[in-house]
Amino acid sequence: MSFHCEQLTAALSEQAAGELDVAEVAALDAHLRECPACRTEAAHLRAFLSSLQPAPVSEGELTMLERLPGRVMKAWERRSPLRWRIPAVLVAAAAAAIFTVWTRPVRHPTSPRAPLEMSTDDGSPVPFAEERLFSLPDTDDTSGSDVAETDASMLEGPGLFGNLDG
Amino acid sequence: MLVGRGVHSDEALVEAHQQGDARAFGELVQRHHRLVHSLVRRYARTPDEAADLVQKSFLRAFAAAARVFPRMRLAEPGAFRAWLLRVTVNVAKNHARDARRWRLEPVEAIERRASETPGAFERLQSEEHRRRLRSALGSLTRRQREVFILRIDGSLPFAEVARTLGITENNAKVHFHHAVRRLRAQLTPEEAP
Repeated sequence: MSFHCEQLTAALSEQAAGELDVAEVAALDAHLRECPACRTEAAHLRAFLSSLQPAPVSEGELTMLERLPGRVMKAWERRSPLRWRIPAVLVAAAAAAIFTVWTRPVRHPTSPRAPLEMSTDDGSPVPFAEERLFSLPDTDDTSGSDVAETDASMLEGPGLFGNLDG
Repeated sequence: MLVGRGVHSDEALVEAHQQGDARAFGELVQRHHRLVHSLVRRYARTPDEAADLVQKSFLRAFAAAARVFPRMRLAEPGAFRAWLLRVTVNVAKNHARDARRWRLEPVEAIERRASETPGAFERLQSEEHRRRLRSALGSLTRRQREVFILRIDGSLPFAEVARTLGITENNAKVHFHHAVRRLRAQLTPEEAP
């Protein structure tokens, strides 16, 4: 196993953490025997690496760590209803808009105005609103679906989460 | 519902969470909160501030879930953990960027505190060392700092440091070498080569 001087810092850090296997320790020792610069450097580096270690976890931190998952969960629960409610409101608004456009009466400039009441098979009058709601327009007008596509496209894009990946 | 039926991978829990299993989120927090805490701890003044940073990291990671996770190769083991750790390192970095948090304490106040309690002088010395180290970390390049935090604070093996950052293991080791060199030059200039 070859060993380069640039690998010394990482190797000493791994050795201190007990992460080197027997062959790797042998390679490090062999390099230190052959390289006086690394040999001198190793003693200083070991002490310096040790000084970089974080302080031991205190009692207060241990108590906090026990409570931490519950705290994060609560924060997520407090946050998520609003997060999901906003898109839900937008979807509902878009659906209402589509419904309104789809059921809008179609006016034909050249045709006479529809009568307020029509007769059914049994002769009873059909209320105007019912006729309007359940009869499809007999034209090629696709304005309703265009609006639906526009509304749908407004819901696309980066979304409400924005750039939150830190 | 997935949680409660044996041990599942992080990635399976992420999928369960996306399908509405609230307990999956809790399981992921339970699994990783100590590691996340170890990464932000150096940058917090109090345990409570560290807890805030941990919470922020989890919430940020999951807030972006709808956008990021579907694109993420969740079938790859460790994909979620790598994502969470990257978010955490960024949260720590952004917190540290605010230089006001590392305001110097007047020397008189340090000396007064040192004379008040036994052993206080040693504690203050190590506090001062940590403060100087935090400050020196700001001089590292982004990649050097990421590698340093994951390796020293997170105690991750270089292989996982590399996987988290999307670099080779050898590259991670070289960044670590240069990070330590630079820190040493600033913290112990008389010793540095």
